[in-house]
Amino acid sequence: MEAIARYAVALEVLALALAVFTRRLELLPAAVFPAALLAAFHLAYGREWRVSVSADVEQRTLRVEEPLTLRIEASSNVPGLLLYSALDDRRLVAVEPPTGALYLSGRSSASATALAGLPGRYEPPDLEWAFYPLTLSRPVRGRTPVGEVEVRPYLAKAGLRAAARSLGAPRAPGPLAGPHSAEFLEVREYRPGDPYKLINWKAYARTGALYVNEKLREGHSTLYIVLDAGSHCRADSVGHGASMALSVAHAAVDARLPVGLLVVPDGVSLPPTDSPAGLKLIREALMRLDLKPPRRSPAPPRADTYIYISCRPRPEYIEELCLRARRVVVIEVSPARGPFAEIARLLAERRGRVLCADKLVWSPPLEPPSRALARL
Amino acid sequence: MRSIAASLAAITAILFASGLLEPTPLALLASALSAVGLAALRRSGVLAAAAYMASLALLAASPQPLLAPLAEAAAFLSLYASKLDEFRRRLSMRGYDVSRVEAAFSRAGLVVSLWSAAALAASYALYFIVESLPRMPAAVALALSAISLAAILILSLGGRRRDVGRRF
Repeated sequence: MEAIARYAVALEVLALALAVFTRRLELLPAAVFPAALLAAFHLAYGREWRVSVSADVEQRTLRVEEPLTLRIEASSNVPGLLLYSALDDRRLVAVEPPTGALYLSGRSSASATALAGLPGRYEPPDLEWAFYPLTLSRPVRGRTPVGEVEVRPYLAKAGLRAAARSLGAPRAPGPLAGPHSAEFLEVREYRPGDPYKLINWKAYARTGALYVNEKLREGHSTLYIVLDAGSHCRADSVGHGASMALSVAHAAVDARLPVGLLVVPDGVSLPPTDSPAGLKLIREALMRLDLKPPRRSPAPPRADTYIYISCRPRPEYIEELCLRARRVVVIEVSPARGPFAEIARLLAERRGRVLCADKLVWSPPLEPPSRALARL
Repeated sequence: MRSIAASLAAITAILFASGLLEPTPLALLASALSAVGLAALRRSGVLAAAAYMASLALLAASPQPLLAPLAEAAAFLSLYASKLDEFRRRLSMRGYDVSRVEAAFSRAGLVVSLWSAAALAASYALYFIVESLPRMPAAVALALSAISLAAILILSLGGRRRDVGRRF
């Protein structure tokens, strides 16, 4: 109220001085106006203020690139301005400024939207708000929790088989697929080429059909996906990269090609597998990504093929990969949004050779992941 | 801000029209000053308020002193617009969504304009009541003014301090 009172006193003093100087009754309204104005403000704000703000996420489980909408409901018993900051999180992709303002008188509502970026289960930061009365004096502040959301990588299914075959011919399980580790995955039907020592004889006795105890495979005759989740990448780059990694892994498992995962610079590594249970482990690992500061990335175990997915592939790391594999494919994830997205996509080098590796640039969400998979 | 600018434009138009209807040097000067205030609003609210205050002083001395409260209300709205503008500038520097801030501030300005209009109406109503009373001496008007000043001081000094948080 201080500023408003200062203005009123200044005007009142001037009006009174003029009234005394001119001695005119017509100046009575001029003398009364500041007091009446101040009385109006006092009537509005003389009572205790009650401000309540609630935040509700419309959809708590969503996939990468889907919009996360926060509905903000606010109410107060006095008029004023509500300033808020919502969904200001580096794991999300901002499509509008995270801060906004709302005129509040009684009940009002607003919404804030961001795109789901990094996969995982996490709680976006609290909704921070400040309510200013129309006197623009001291605000009332508060925080409202938003709650947990779950962002999942999407799975591109179109053209998966063709893509998987293009990676390399799937080989029959055997010594070439690498040794079996002691880590149990699942019981699955016997396939020709499975070692006899893995046959589950108890299951055979019960059902009459041959089953094997599937275990994780190690070795170098495999496909490894190297996913860059460094903090130099934007959340949507990593999110789309994780989705591409999941799609490639799905394609490989579908084609019975052992596939492993290495997340850099985190160092999370999953040994190669060609089983659905192994694919599940990969999916779970992709749900636990965190944007870590870039540092020297660990080299993955030896493999036939590496698929290096990054927002900014590093040449020295590509060189390192080339020394350990017969073939390296680099996917540069370069999300393109906004009015100039199509131009940016056209200007980007679509496919080329970097050192010893095949490189292709993928611009989601402009280009569907299935098309990028088909280009592999 | 747009609503405050519209209110000031309306007040300026009234002052200008009255100046043209009864052309005296003081009234014409006052209306010209109010036009200057309106033009200066975009640049500086304080400058606009100063112009409207000068217009108020001229109107008080002119043959149309009843129009003086209009200039007074315009001065108040200019000062309020200046404060809103400063606040808006700070918010835009902090990355706030300018369109949403502008919309919210426009609503706030509209409400304050309406409150000013109500206060103006109340003060005019009081004047006409006082004038309609028989044999009202001029001293009563001054007494009422003194009472209103006391009311201002009581209201402004008696306000409770609520939230003592840091500024946003």
